[in-house]
Amino acid sequence: MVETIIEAKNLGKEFKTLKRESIVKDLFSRNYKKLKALDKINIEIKKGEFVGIIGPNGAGKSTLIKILTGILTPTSGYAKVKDIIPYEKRKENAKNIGVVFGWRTQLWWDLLVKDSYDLIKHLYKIPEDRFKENLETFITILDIDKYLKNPVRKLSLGERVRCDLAASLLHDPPILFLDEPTIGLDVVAKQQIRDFLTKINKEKEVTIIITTHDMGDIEELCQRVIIIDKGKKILDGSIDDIKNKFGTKRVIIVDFQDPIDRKKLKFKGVKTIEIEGNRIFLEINTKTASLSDVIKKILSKWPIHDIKIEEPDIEDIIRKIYRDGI
Amino acid sequence: MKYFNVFLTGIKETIVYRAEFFSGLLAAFLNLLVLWFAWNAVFAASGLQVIGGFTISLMITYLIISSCLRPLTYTDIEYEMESDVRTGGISVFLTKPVSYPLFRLFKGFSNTVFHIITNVIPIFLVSILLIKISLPLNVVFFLISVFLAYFVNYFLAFLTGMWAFFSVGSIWGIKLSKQIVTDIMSGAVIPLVLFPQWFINIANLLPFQAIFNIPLLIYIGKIVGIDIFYSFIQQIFWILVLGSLSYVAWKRAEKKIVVQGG
Amino acid sequence: MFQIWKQLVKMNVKRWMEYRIDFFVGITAIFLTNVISVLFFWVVFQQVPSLNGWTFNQLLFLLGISYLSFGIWHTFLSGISPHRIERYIRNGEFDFLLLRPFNPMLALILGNIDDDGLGDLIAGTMILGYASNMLAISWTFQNIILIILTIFGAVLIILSINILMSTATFWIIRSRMLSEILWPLMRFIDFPLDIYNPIIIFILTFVLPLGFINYYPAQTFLGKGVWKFSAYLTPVVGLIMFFISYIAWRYGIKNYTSTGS
Repeated sequence: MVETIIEAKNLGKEFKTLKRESIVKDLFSRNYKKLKALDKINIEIKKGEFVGIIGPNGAGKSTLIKILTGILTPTSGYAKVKDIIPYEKRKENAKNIGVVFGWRTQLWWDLLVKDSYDLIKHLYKIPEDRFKENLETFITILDIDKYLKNPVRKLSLGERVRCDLAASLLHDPPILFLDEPTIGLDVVAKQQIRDFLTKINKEKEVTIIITTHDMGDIEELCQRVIIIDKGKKILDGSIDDIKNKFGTKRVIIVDFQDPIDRKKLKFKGVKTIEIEGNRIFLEINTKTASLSDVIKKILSKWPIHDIKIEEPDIEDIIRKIYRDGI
Repeated sequence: MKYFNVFLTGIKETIVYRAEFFSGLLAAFLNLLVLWFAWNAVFAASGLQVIGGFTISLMITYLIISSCLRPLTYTDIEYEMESDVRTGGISVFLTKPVSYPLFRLFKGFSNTVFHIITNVIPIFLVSILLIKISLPLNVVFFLISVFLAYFVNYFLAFLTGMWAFFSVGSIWGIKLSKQIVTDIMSGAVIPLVLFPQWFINIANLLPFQAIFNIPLLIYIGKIVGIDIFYSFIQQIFWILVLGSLSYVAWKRAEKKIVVQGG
Repeated sequence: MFQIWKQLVKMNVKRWMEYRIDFFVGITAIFLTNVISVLFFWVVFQQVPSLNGWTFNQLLFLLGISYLSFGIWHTFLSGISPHRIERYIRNGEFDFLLLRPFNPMLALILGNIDDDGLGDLIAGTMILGYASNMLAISWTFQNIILIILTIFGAVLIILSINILMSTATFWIIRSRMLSEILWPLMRFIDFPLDIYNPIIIFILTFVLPLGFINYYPAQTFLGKGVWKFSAYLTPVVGLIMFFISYIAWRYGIKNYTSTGS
């Protein structure tokens, strides 16, 4: 039985913000409005999982991460990370987690990268041989050897995120939190980081929680996706589950041998969305038509060169969920 | 109507900064408070009515007006020049038919005006009403000397700012040093006349006393008659000297920028 | 823990040597700020033999304790300041402070060494050294212990006041104005408290105990007045102030973590 390593029970966070009215009114009275950033969130994450948390901007993802990392206290419910309440035992929790925020480095701006790592070694009391071992591993996989002697402020975004990743794992935390780690990175850097994360998740069994807007991250890395919108958890399942449940539109690309009159392709639930000579893009609504039936029909009627079935675009699916809800 | 909105926005911004607005005033007030007690103690200890030609009330007046004149020397131009160099914005100026020193002069002036309004006028009004300090005997001449003092200080600040062009370091330390030397050598903190003669002689050869000492002494009536014009000439002399040095420095810097490309 | 501090010192020194001109210019500028009050007394004593019963050297002694203590705080312990806390909160760095398995207050205080403070430190040492020499203070074992305790207490008082001001930032983000007021307040103790009116003396003794930084201890060393044992009070006051500021800081962090940023 794999242990539950992160637990959130009825987690809620309400913010009181000042309602700014006119200057004069503000001088005499203060009006507050309450903002529910998180509403009765229930989550259970088991050791070794790779979970993606997504949601529109302002949905409450950062709030959730802040509570789990201990820098924000909830107003209702509770959260436990490795059986410790993170916002109550912050220092203890810190030893169990690694954190990478894509938009801000945890390294010391003026120091050389290797000096930052040394500092981390002392802060987390990492034994020397363990430190060396981890550092060697990370240097190789992330290819950061050449940056070690650079001051952190001179690193480019991609270099810095890689160095941050190494820094976050030096003390062998069982859990890693990532907040938008691939934001602003080029394709090569993104791939490097994804490979790294996959590796440590598989080999070191590090439980990884990632918030991101990049669907590529989600598709490649996460087995499980949690969607948060307006402070509520609206979806919690595997990628396949989502695709099957919500991927109602499938696109097939048919290369016909001879030119086809599109009027002939008007089947139920089938829509022609693009024509490139003999190549026709068809969109099939899986609610009203069966994918295999449509394909069978086409094959039986016309000779074709090739048929391609496109994978449902998770991005479109998610976008629709944001827009229309479940 | 559009400009009225701009004005309103300005007021709104000022209210946001209202706490900081008060802190500057409070700091100046506290400083004066310390000096008030200190000088009272000095006069009491000496048993004299007049020290160095100052009565206690004249001394207090001197210090209050000195405090009021301080915002004259509040220019952020050194920091702005430093940022111009760092961001490379300086190269933009080379393409425009505008003299950099003059541009900075006018920009710095708006900053000064703001400080005068927020800091000087309140102190001045409070002092006149509450402590009943004396008004200057020669208002017009006083204002002229203040006007000239501003330019002396401006060019001094400009030269200080030039440090940003010719060295790698940050400007903060040089600016602070300049401010302290000015405070001391200009009689802003302690009237020059109280110093030993050799100190006064050195101070008279330097531009700093043209910034505070001259206007202050005119105000309290220690410089009268023909001496006033002599003082103006001194101030103008320094404006010309420092102005030319600024111009020369700027030309040098221009060449350097063109060669190095910003 | 000391290892970490040593590391940081090494790294800071490396950085200062990289910008050597800034290093020296900064120290010189700060050194000069300490000269003004000395000059004041120097000028004044051309005219008067003593001020409220204090001689020139005694006044320098007063300045020396204050400036030296301030210099120690400025160089080694000035990590917590309203300016820095505000900056860290704004750019999110404060969160990272909370994510470390290390006391954030300690991390801030020890992690920021300010080379400029050396200007205060050097000036203070020089002034105090000169004054105590001129006053022929006998450095008996007891006196040495006393001066160490005094400076320890004085540094704590300065530290505590800064922590308290910084804590205000948790509630009112723009608390920079508070530190602006600190400098003129410190000027009050450049002079012996007896020149002020009783209300001010009361404030500087019981509300904002700046008097315990130099005035009261000086009484003991210089054998002045009734306060023979006042120097021993300074470390006590220092500890009390630090305790208060620590509580306030903890409270501030609690507020911060419940309101986010």
